Order: sequence, then structure tokens, then C-alpha cells
Amino acid sequence: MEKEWKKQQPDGTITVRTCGWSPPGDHPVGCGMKLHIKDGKLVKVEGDPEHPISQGRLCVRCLTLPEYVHHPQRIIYPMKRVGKRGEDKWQRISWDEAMDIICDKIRHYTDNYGAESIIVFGGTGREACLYYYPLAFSSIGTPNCCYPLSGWSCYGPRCSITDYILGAGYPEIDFAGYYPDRYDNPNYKLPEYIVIWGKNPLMSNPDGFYGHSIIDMMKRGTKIICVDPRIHWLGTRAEHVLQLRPGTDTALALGLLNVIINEDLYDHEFVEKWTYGFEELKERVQEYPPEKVAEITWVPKEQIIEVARIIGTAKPCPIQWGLAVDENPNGVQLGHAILALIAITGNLDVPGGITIGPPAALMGKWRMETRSQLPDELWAKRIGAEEWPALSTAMATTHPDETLDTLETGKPYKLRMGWFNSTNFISATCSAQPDRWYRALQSLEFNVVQDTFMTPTAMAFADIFLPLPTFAEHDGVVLTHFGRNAIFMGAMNKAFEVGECKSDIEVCIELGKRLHPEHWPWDTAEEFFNDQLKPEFGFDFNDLREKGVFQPPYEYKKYEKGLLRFDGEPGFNTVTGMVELCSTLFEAWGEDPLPYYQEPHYSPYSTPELFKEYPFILTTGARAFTSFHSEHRQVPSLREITPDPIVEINPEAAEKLGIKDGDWVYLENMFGKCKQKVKLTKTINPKVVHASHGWWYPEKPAEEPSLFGVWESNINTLIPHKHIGKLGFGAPFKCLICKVYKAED
Amino acid sequence: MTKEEFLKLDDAGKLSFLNSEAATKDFAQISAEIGMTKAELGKIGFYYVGNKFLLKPMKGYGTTERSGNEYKDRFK
Repeated sequence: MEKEWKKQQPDGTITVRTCGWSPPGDHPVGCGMKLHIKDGKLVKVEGDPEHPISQGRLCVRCLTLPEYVHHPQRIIYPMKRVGKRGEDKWQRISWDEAMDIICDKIRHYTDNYGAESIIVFGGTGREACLYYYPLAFSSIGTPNCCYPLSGWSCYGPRCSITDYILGAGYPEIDFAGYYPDRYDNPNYKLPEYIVIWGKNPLMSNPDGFYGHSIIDMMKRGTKIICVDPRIHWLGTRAEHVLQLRPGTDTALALGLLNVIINEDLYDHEFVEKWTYGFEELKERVQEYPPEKVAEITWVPKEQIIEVARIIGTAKPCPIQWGLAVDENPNGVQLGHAILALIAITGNLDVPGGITIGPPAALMGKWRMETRSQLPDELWAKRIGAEEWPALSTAMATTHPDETLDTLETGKPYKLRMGWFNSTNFISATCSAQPDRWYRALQSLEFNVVQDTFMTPTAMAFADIFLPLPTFAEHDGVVLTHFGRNAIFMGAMNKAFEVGECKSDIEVCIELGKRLHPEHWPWDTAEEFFNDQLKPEFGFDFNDLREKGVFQPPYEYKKYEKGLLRFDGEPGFNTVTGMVELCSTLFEAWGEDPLPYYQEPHYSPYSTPELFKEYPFILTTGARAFTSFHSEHRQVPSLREITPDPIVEINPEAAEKLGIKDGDWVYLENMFGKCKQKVKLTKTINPKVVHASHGWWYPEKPAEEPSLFGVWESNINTLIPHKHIGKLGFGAPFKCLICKVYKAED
Repeated sequence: MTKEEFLKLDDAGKLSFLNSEAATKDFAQISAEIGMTKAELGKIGFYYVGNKFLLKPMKGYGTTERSGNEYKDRFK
């Protein structure tokens, strides 16, 4: 890429090259773009054709960034509440005053009740979750950092399962992202097939995978298989869509393993040399013959067999896993089974297969290591750590569901102060039963909220509001997969300022210097990034700006070369040194060491009586191009494209209910109800409905009880708290039941 | 061996000691001997499975000790 990252154009416009991060929902892929600034204002965003991954392409969320950054409702100065909570009464204050108030409160709670009485809630983050860990551990000094998603049901389960089973970083399909010349690199092999399992990468651009790479590969000949209850755009162009009943994915994975093993389609050499527990797995999958799996999943037996044969014989045939693994109480077993499929078919760490990051993260794990600045006895008070050893080993957070219990009961101790780092979780983003969280959070005595807009969560709880910048307004480092499989690293360059916003790391530094200066030697974000980059890569932040993007070299078959184990021996960095098809750790934690299928908590088969009253299977949360979870509802161009929360219903089912396209309906079950607008589509099974998440209405009254209409279309009120898996992961966001009826009001 | 003596051993030493004990004693006896519970051993990466002790090489977040998973800790 060109060395010059900032240019003045003849008309006085400044053009700044940068890589995106959230907001506006480029999470955290680092798409390349050029920001055009005139008279201090962002006037235009366009894709950067030099960026080796996104190659000039951008989605509508980045293209509408000018509307977002200069939106009249954006909060761009620190504020303190001057009315009661829930009232829209605020006073602008300086950063100094805000920090004085906050530090006094932190000292008060720490001195009188212990630092554990303070909790940091982290959302997507403006820098994709990197800095709320050090904010908690190192700036504030509390062990309680909470990602308030029931069952930690996003990404964390996949990383944890990989840690337990492979002892490696995140498994991602090989889209030649490591190579400047991409698919033409001689080391690369184009996948013959890609299985996309419970994921819609075009819309979600998830975590380190640039979604349109799928299309790049399709143009070169790769064929697609989708596993999804919905037929999305990629599904319409796939060779197969396994349109399964929501929540039955693990049965399907075990059925595929059954065929591949019984028809001897697996990679014998890999299995013999590099796996542990194959015979036990072989015995287990006999319980899942295709005909039984077809009954469970509603996927035809013949299709299961045909797809299994493709996975067993196509070379390479990577499987890309998505939220279907996380948002399912049976998801740990699903992740285990998918990794087994990838491993025994010889698709692990091979060109065009599944790449795996080294077990040690590039840069990214610094944030968790800041917990070493806490005393042991304080770390031991982390909420849920004792009760959920598997989760608390792999995640440096509290257990999210235990955290709600603690807020409700005051046990094992009372939480008194909350810090909400860019999380709007009383809207339908992550928390299950957000109405319950809403009531429980009332018990917090003092709260700080960092965000870009006034949200329902901020309106309900903030005592101090700290404004966050967008990625276009601060310096940073984009790191795909949070360093767990750093396919590339990019520079995020500050192009202009809006108001007095401060980034996550700037707030960490400023607060840390006041409360724990021994941990915060850096004065600026750039100094911090220099210190992170230089020892590991030999270049500093300014060098990264000039490079634009850094693609670290990649080694395939690391397990053969001693590049995965810390002792330098060949193998995997697991307890047995092998891919654990039979998990020693699961057994130690009291879980079945082999994958197994568990029927969803509520379904036509597990709760047939309830299903008579709630006769639809409810799946939620598919992504849209125009929003990132609860964000962007106030951006006019995006709202014009997607004005309302949409529930997808098959026309056949709708006709029986007298429901037409465009009608507003209630979705209701044992836990709650909400209202969404009907879209009729044959891409969903007549027995299944899909509802949108993340909806609130910035145009509706801000104050209580409305809170921007947060409860009207809040699908998470139908999702029960603590219906999680045995190891603490997974929640039924994608496998519940409900009824649907026309809204007459 | 006391808990303090046990904790002073490096990982290989700990594993070797635990498995030499496991040859003749059950988990409850070993746990009582060193004064550490199953949960405490798990936090430092040791698990008892099938009458022997195993070590998880990827240290997690059970304790405040650096997990060693940072790139510069492991790959110089």
C-alpha cells in the first residue's frame, strides 16, 4: 500500500486512509477505506482499493458514516445527570469534573465495600472488546468484568471449545488473507467446497473474516453448502442448504460424522497421528444414524448422506462455524463435533482448509493479562468463577447469568457501581430477559456509561455519560480475531474530531493514571500502541500507519513442526497433545467427554403440551446490512432501508393465522412478548419464525417508561435467563417456541 | 508434601509428583495430603482423569498468574 496515509487534495479536502472498526459495525474486520474531510467534517467515505482484504468494497454502514458521526443526537461531551434516573435531564461537564466524580466514587466503593463491588459491563466496544478488560482489572481494580450475554453466547464458546479441543487460536476458513497476492499465492489452494454453518458472513463480516471473500472464492469455483434454518442469499446460490430445525445442529453434525466414519471417508493418517479418542467417537456416532438424525433435524436422510460424502471427499472442504454454535445450550457439543469433522477429514491447518491461530495471541491477550495486577484473593471473588470452572478458565470475565443472579440477590456480595462500556443491553442485543436485568440494575448506586448516542440503557442508568469517538476519530490498531488468528493487522487513523470524545484506551489511560499510575506508564494512545507493537513486530504505530496493513506470515501444518506446543514438540497444545475427539477436560469438569445431542429445552418434542399453546419454533438474531445489533437505528439512510423490526413467517403458516405481509404481530411465549412487522417468505419453514434483534426507537420518548420504546419490539424478553449448557456456555436465542397473533393496537 | 512445597515445584515437577502418588493413592488421599481441592488444582491446570493427573498446557484465567499465552511469553 502507498506509504502516505494522509493527503491534502487540491480543493483543500483531506483524505485519510484507515481501517474500520465498530462503530459502525465493522466488527472487527478492519475494512479499508478513505475518509474525506472538508472543513473539519467528514463528507464522504469510499472503499480503499489498495486494501488487500476488502479491496475497495464497503457495506452501507461504513458508507453512511458521515450521517452517524455528525448526527444531531450524538453525544459528544461528558455529561452528568441532573434529574432522576430515567429522566432526560443532563448537564454538560468537563472531562476533569467527570473523572473527579468517577474517581471519588471508585475510591469510596473500593475502600468501604471492596473493589469487587464495582462491575464493568462490556459490549461490542468501540475497539471490539479489547479494552474493557484492562479498564476493569487495571484502571479500576475490580475482578468483575461482565459480558452480559446469557451463556456468553457469542464467539467465546467457539474460542473456548477450540482451546479445550485443539489448544489453538481461532479456527477460520482459509481465505488467503495472509497473502498480499491473495488467492494467486502459490501456497494457497482454493476450497472445493465451503460449509457455512449457522452464519451469514456477507452481512455479519464476523470477527476477522471479510464476508465477501466467500464471493471471491465462489467466482473462482468454490461451491457452497449452507446449514441454516433460513435460506439466506448465499443459500440461494449454494449446492445444498441443510435447512434444519433450529437447535438440532449437534444431531446433524453427529449424523455427518456417522456417515463419514462408517463409509470410511476420513483421513486415516491424520486420525492415527494426531487425534485422541477416535474409537470412542466412532462408537458414539453409531447412536446417530442418518434416518434418526433426519427425524430430529427435519433434514432429509438422503441429503445428510450426500453432504457427508462431499465433506469427506472434497479437498479442501473447510467448515465455517457461526453463532449456531454459541447460541445453543448444546453448542459446546456442536463445536466439538464440528472440530471433529474438520479434523478427521484432513481439513485442519492445510491450504484452503481451516487456519488456526497459534495458541499464544498476537498482542491481543495483553488485555486479559492485566488481571495479574490484582491480588489473588480479589481475583477469587470474580462472580461465577467457582461455580463454572470451564468457563472461568477460558474467559477472564464473570459468568453472565450468575451476574444477574448476584444483582438480584446481593449474593455472594452486593454490587454497587456499574460501568457500561458501549453496551446497550436492555435493548435486545445480548441479555436474556432484559426486563429482569433492567429491574436488577436499579440496585446499582452509581453508574458510568460510555457510548456514542443516548441509548435506552444509558437513559435508564447513567449518572455520568462519557462520549466515545467512532473509529474515524481516534487512533487504534485493528486486529482480526482479537489476535487469536491475526490474519492481518491494520492502522486505524484519527482523521478529525467531533466534540470532546475519548476512545476506550484513552479513558483507560486517563483513569488508570489517576487510580493506579504504576500500571499506566503511557501518556498517549500512540505511546501505548508503540509499546505493544515494537517488541513483537519490530515496528511502531507510525510504521503501521505507513504500511496500512500488516499481514503476518502463515505456516500450515503447525502441528507437524512444533509450532503449536509451547515445548516445541509436534502435536497440539492440549492435555493429550492431540486433537481431542474425546475430551479429557470435559470429563474432568463432569461433562460427557464426547459430543452428544440434547433436545432444546422447549420444542415440539421436549415440551409437547406447551408447543400446543406456542406452536412456532422461534429463532432470532440474524444479521442485517443496515445495523449492528442495536446500533444505527437513528441513521436516516439506514433506517430508510430497514425501517421496522421484521419477523419472517412462511406464507402458508401466515395464511392460517389470517396474517398478511406488512401486518404487525405479537410474538409471545412463557417469558414475554413483543411486536414486530411481518415479512412473508418461503425461505423459512412453515413451523419456524425468525425475529429481529436489537430494536429500539430513537424517535420515541427518551424518558421512562418509554426509554425510546425499548420494550415494544424487544425479542429478548422471550428468551429465558440461565437456560445454559453444563459447562456454562450457550443460551437458547435460536431455539425457543412462541405463538404469533395479529396486533390490533 | 505440603501445599507450599507442592506449589514451589515447576509444572513438570508437580505433574510427576501427582502421578507418582496416583500410582498408589486415590484422589481424595492426594488432595488431603497436599491440602488442595479439585477446584484449586484445576485453577493451576491440573486435572484428575481416569486415575491419573493431566496438565492443561494452555493456562487459563483461574489465577492471577500470567497465563503465558501472550505471544512474547511463548514464542521469542
